[in-house]
Amino acid sequence: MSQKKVNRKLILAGGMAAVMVMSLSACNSTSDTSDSSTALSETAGTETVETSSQAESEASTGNEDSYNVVIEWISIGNTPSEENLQLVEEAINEITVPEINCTVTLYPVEISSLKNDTALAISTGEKLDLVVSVGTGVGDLVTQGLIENLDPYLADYGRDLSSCLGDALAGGYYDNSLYGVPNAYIQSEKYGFLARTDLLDKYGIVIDSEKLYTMDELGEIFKTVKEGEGEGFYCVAGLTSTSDLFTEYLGTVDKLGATTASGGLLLADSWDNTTIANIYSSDQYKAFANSTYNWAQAGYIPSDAASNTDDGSVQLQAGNYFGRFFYTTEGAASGMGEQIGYELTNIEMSPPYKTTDRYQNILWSVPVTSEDPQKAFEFLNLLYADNDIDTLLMYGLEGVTYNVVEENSNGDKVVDFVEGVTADTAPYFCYAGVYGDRLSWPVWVPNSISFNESLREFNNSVTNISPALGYCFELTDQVSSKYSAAFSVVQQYTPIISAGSVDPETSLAEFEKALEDAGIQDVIAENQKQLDEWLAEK
Amino acid sequence: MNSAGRPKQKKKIRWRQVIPIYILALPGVVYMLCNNYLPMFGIIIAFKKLNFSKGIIASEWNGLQNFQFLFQSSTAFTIIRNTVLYNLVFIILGNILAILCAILLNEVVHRISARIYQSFILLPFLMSWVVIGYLGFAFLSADNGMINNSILEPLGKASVNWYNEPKYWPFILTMVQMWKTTGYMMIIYYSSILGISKDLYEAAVVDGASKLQQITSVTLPLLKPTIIVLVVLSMGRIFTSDFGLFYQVPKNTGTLYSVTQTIDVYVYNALMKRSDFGMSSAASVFQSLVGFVTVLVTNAIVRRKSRENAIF
Repeated sequence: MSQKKVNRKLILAGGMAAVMVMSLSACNSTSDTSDSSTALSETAGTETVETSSQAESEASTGNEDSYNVVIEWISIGNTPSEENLQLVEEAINEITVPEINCTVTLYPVEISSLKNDTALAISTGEKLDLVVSVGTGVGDLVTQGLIENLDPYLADYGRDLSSCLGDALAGGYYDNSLYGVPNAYIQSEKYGFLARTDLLDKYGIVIDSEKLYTMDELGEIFKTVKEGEGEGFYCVAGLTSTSDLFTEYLGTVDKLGATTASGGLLLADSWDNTTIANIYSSDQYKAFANSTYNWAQAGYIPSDAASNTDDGSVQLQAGNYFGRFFYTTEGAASGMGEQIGYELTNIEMSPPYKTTDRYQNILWSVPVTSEDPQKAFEFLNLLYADNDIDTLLMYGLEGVTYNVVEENSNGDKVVDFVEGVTADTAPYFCYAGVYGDRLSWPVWVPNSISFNESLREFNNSVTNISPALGYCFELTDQVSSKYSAAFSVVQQYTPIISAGSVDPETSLAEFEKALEDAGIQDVIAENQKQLDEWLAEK
Repeated sequence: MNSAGRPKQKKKIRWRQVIPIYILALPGVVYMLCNNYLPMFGIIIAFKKLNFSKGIIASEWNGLQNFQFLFQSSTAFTIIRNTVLYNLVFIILGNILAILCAILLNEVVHRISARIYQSFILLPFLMSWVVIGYLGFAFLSADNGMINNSILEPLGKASVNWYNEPKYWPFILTMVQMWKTTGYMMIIYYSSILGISKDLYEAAVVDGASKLQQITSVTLPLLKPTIIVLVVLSMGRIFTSDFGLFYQVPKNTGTLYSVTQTIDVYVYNALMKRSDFGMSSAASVFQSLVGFVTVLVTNAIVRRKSRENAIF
């Protein structure tokens, strides 16, 4: 009898579980159908708008039919509350509904998990229309089949972004198709050494701002300063256990949309060099390695530099460093100087030039799951047009986050935080500069109103262009594992060579052998093959 | 045993008693299936070229290609050697130290002081590797480090650039690992020692056994099952290394890679900039498979030596 009872209970439990599962799946299917029905009405909505040739009155009242574009919002530990996000969304909708009949929803993602969250959201089919990749390029997203090819939309719906981005659009290409759209900002950087002005003055060193300094000349300056300041004082801050000074700042290298683990073009040789080489076996790299080694021996670089995990600005703040290798583009020295509390002077070392990877840092893409990729792309295009959407997305509402302090006829503005508000406490503030045209955003006090204008001028002055601009190395299956192996070798050797902690006489040979063993030559050969094909097609 | 009908009946009765117990266990079993067995489906990612738009199942198979990168570079030998040797040292030394501490702690008569010592030995285990990495740097930094400035300098010895000298690091890493984990393992041994009946010791004392003889003839033999379980279990992780220890403590310094790079650190460095799910799961599948085999082999050896002590 008891057995029967037990059985009955079991059946009951099983039945209940089954009911639960069924009701769950029922929930899913109903929501699915409702989704698809709204999707249908939405596409219908866009069609009517197109035929009625942007009848504005109809569109602005047609809020119900407008497509909702869900766009990622990068949070660096400061996701705004739901209401504050909504306020900004409403302000944006006021512009977008009349323009292209769409509304926008912000989808906050923490930057540290951006890559995984994006992949997860797309693969689970969450509603998302615009995703951003930061610092990774679009290669992975394309090979994993996560994002749309944007070529079909570019000509018809990408006028504003094409004209705003110019050469920079090259960063979004992969496999000869457009997959990502970069943000618009300066099109290149100048590179060099930021030195503390007070120490330069103290030792009577005059820097010629027109001249490109060599490593040896910099070494001479270091010598004077180090001799004057003595023990416990160092010249080069900002070296860490992941630094690659040569590729990052000094080498004038085109990494061809990937990393140096697949070789690069040494553009210092010539601006039309199209022979891919292992840059770590070049004479330039050897000279660089000798310099850093000598500097470390002379005590300009601390002996633990390759184990350092502190940021360069933290080291400079402590006061016992002379400067660091960095960008010398306008704004870089003053920004860094403000952060560390010392005025800094640019020592130029490398000219500005345009390469593909320069524009791969921030890329906007449309996921394959987007119900209306065209609308998403239209909205993306609108960010680069002459309006305030990108400013809204960055800094929120005027009068709530910031007030305009100064304004000129170009439309450039200087703004300051509303009394009692900082970037941390603002109801809405995006730290990550990812939206639209950065040179159209207002600048913050104490920057001058001409700041954006001078950067626009700088953009126009950059004439050095890599012959491979727009080309991006596609990692094929044959060389994928060799590339990863070579990449780990690069990770191992470049920081210690940058910090001068090993003698290049022996370490460079070891480095080169390790790269050969990992198979870098095969990766470079594949890269060269792809580049040649690309050049032939161009 | 003797008739065909009886066992059947016997079985029926047992079944009736056992079912409620199974039902009691059901939530746990379901949880274990969901938590430990369901994700094993993901192993197939290691053999696929993952394409999200096709999904895991429909993605193309690519054989063992994902495993290649582990063995591609000339460092393959080094990283496997480092992983295995460090683990062997940690298992042997770790157990010896933990047992030693547990026995010593058991001899502390004053209960409150025993508690205090126990907490002190356990404390490092509760620290995160990042913190330990910085503690290590405070000791070993070339210019400001305590060892160079407060020990070597007063002794008139030349200072050592610790982060540039691979030869010291096997010892440093072993010391740090022991310092951190001994307390935790000690607690397991200590609790088994506390479970040993006092009668046995009293009997030993009556027989005239010294303290040392009590330890070697009573404590250690009775600890044997615990030791075997812990060793066999740790054998399962012999191809896995503690990423924090090998990455944070040497501060990812390239010069030290020859003695500090393990499989996990290599995988991290090689795939850091790529989200290649296939290759990273290939690495962990490889580690788990080898670990599984090692557990089986170790257990088989134990079973051959003394059957009753084998885990399965």
